[in-house]
Amino acid sequence: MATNAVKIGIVGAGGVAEACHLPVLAQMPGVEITWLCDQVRERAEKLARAWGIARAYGELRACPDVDAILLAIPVGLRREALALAFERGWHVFAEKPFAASAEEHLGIVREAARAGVEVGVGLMRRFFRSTGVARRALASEAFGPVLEVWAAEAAHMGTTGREGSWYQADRAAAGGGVLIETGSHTVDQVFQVLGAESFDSLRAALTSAGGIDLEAKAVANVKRSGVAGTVPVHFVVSRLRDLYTGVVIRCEHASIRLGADAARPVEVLGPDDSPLCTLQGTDGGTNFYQPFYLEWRAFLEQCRSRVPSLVDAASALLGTRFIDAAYACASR
Amino acid sequence: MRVAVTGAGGRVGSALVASLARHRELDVVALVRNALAASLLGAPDAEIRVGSVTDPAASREALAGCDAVVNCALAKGWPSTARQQNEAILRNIAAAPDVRRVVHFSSVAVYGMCVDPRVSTFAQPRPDSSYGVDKLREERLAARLFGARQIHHHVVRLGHVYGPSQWVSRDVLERVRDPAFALPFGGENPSNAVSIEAVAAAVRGLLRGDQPSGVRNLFDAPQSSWRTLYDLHTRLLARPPADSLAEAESLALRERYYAAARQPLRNLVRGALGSLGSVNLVALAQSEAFRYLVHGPLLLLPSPVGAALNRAYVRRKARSALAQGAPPARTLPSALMCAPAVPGPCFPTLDSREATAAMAEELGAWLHGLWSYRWDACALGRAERGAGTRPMAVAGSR
Repeated sequence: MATNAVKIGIVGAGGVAEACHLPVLAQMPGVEITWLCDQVRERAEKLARAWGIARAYGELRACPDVDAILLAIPVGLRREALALAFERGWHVFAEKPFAASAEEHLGIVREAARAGVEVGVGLMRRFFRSTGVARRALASEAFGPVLEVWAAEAAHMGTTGREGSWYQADRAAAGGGVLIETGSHTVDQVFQVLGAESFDSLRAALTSAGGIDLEAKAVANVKRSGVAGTVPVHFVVSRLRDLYTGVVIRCEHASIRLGADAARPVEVLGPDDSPLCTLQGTDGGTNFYQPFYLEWRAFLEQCRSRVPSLVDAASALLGTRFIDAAYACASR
Repeated sequence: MRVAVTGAGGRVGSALVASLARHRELDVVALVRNALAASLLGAPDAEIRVGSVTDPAASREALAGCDAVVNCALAKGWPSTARQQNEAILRNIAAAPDVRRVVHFSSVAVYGMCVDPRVSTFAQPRPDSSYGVDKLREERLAARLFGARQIHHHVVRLGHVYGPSQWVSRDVLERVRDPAFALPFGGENPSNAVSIEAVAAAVRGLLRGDQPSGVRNLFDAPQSSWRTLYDLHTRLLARPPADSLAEAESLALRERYYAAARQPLRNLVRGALGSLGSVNLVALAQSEAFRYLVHGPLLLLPSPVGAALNRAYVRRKARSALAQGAPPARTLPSALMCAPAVPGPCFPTLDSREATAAMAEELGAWLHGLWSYRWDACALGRAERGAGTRPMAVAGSR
């Protein structure tokens, strides 16, 4: 990298950049946020002013070179930005969902490799303390073999506070609905904890409106790395209904439960699913900001060392494949 | 009568739309802000309009032809912006040419979170939260605006709403999941809660009846205790009843909440002095006492200054979070559970036992969906296979 401070450009001045990334990047040692770019220039200028960022742009081509960019625009609107980043040799840290299809995901990873840049993906639940604790507990078979997994994230979406132009009301921009938007987190969290290698026997169903799925259910058998046999995994994500939210992994001797937020510890459940105790750990985030900080630290280290880290985009391909296959299965 | 429900995508709003639309004498118009929210509403008997009631022109269009409005809308976000938007909603409703009757939802939060009847009365409520302060301010604005235009209006100080999809029922479920949870005062305190069924019945009554304009409380009649409320939920879930917190602990907890509400300044100074040298500004800024004290002055600041202060706060919050260890394990019972009944009369509505019985089946099914992580996966291979569709609503569609 050109200078001591890593120069970062931010593409997209929306909620995720403002609420999740700017607060941690602004105080990360050795990082300089060089510019902020948004197709609505006034929005970029406003956010840049608020965070003391020197320059704001409305056109990505006009932005000066940086070491890496945060790509925080909807998945369906990223093609040009990615092509330009690769052309200019910028590393890319992309918010989830990484790609609208497995083919697109692979294409981006390959183009990045050709361009000699690193690409990371912001699946921040990988950096929850609970994810690491659960993964280690399962790997050690402390509770016996895994029998089945139930993962759900479902809340009736009420007031959105968003006007008609909201990207999630536009299928082309959002890449789909709740399955890709919320499911990308849930699926990745489960695959991380299990150490998933592949899946088969996928069945899926969607409830949709205007091409946007509002509820998705999927069941598949997941093969774990280094473990014989497969584990049946059940997913449901919904904006239509309030349902149980969390991941329950049933093992032979006990079950463990982890939540969709960083603060929730891993709980060990008895045979009647009542909580027995919690599992403690020392690594990983336990509040809102820590996982974002940790993913940026991993990504910047990957850019420096050129060794794939936990955020490496290629490592998220299985999740994208699963979601892609679930959409295809449900539409058959 | 054609009645518009603003904030129709929200928990209370969507339940009201569904309930009101079942009554043939009412033509219900559900107002939501985008097409996705419209498709989530699932109210086949209501007309759905997509538009913003914070914008005067869009609001005129959205409320055209409506004789009455039930205002469930609540803008959130940066305090000054949210306040402006909530007040704009009231102004736009008052300016709608066809509207002759309004039901505006306020909250029992105007009396304070842990109501102290010695200082907070029906005529002179004393809120102790920024939410309560804003709600009281809206009440007064509503009375002024609607009174000036001779619009028949009812300001309803809504109790804590429970029922399928409602916040209180969700909170009960989350608390009874925690084996350490215990109800203060054995749950014998009045809950100041109201079932969504009773809210819907009261709104129908207010839309039809000839009660004079004014402010009214709305909670269960007869008042339900927290014990009644918790027992209803645990019974529907087939779970054991919640434990009771010892009397001494309950009293100590209530005193703590009272002290915080009564002496915000002293509390603030004591908190700051107690941690002098390592003042946790984030915890301070998040405290209700601080919000209560600085809320008003903050709203007077020009918005760039306010926004800059907000950024400074977010920076500090992130820095504090990044340095933080594991989160605290236990949450205390809320101030609401330590409070006595809110002062003042209650608008007569459905008998709470009837209301509870009417929604028990739906509430039970909803609670089970939240409690149990299992679902019928076999169905995926049969009836559910493939894509179900819902219509994507557009402005004015029915």
